[in-house]
Amino acid sequence: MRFECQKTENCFAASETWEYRLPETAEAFSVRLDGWDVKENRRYRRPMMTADRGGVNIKGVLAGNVVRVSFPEDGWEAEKARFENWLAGEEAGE
Amino acid sequence: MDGEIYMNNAATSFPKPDCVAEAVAGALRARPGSAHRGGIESFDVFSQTRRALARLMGVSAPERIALGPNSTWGLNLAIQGFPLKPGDAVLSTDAEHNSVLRPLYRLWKERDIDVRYVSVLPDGGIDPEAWLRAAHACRPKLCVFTHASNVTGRVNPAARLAAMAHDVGAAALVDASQTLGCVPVRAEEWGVDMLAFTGHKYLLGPQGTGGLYVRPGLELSPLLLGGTGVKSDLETMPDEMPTHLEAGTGNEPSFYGLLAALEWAEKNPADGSAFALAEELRAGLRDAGALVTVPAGESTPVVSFNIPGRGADGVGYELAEGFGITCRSGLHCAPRIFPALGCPSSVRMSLSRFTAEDEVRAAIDAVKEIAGG
Repeated sequence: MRFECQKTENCFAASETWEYRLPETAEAFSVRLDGWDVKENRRYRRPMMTADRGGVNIKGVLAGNVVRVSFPEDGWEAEKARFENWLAGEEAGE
Repeated sequence: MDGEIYMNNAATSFPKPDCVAEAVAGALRARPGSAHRGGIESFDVFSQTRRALARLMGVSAPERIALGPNSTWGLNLAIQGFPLKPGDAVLSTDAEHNSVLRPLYRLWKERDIDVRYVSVLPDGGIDPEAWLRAAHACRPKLCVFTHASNVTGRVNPAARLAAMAHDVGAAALVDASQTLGCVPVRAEEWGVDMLAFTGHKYLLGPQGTGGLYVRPGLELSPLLLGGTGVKSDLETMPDEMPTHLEAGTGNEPSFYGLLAALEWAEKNPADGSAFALAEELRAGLRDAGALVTVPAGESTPVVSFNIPGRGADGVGYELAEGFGITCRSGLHCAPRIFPALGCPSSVRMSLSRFTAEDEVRAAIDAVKEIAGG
């Protein structure tokens, strides 16, 4: 799967948060998150998803194709590389 | 509500009066004024803006207002340009923005200035008694405080704090970034020595406008040196204000916008609805289960809160993405204030005179939904 990645600007201490533009919606992407604690909230005006595993948090608007990913402060580089390797190895959906 | 809601006015106000964009666009299309500097018949937007600002902040000498890109520029000019020598003390507070904290850190690190901070009250306000005690303890040459916390909105008693600074022989620098155009500011009446302000918040002007008032008789060392268009034969900056502190070509189009905003606000004074709506928002958020920082006295229309069990980052993101409510979450560039507030960070909703009641209700409903989730 091809993706774009950009560090998000925010005002928190020690934040390692990045945004990924995906070739599919967050709703379709969340189906791939096997083994993650995935939650959806469809009561929001724009329904959203979150997914957590091992200190990594993913969230996004279900209908959108940008997800925000926060990596744990300790070892974020390795976690980020692992996440991106996995993403790159995934086949893009329809 | 289906539309986008903007509640980040303490960062940059939106919307602006239509005349602001028209003035900026008009200036960009017109021949630049600086090419005709000084003619009696030429319109000098900088002088006109200084006059309008002087009326607003209660200053009788408009030429003592140096114009620049923002209040960060003004604060740096004041803090780094104030005559201090190694070993002198500067007193400030934990409520300050990084535009004060970082220049002060540099003074401590590089110029051997003793910088002290007064802790603040749980609503982010400065306790005048603590301020006075600290001033007597360290005998500062310069005292720096914010007129209102950008995190909680709490307005500080500027005249009283400035008088206490003067009692120990210190000059008083006020950061009015959060207040000019929002609550009354009377620089001369308060006896402040310097007052920094920005144009893009409650003055409703464009980004890239701001400045510093310096009382007559106080001389600062310029932060930047360069062309002034006058006395070009000198090797140093001219002595007279405001030229002494203004090097380089000014941001003429944006100051046309600021002047338009100032003149519009003079003709259309705010009705105070933003303050009432901020109260309604605080009450509604409390009812929704949020922990709201409630200012114990006068405040700007800034509302800071957390949802128990939820990080401010996630709440801010969900408000923005899930509900289309632009607000701010995090440290708000004021990291020292949070121990006093009892939280590591916060979500901040900041209203303006243009905020509508149904937008406040929508924000309360959204927080209720997030807290319930």
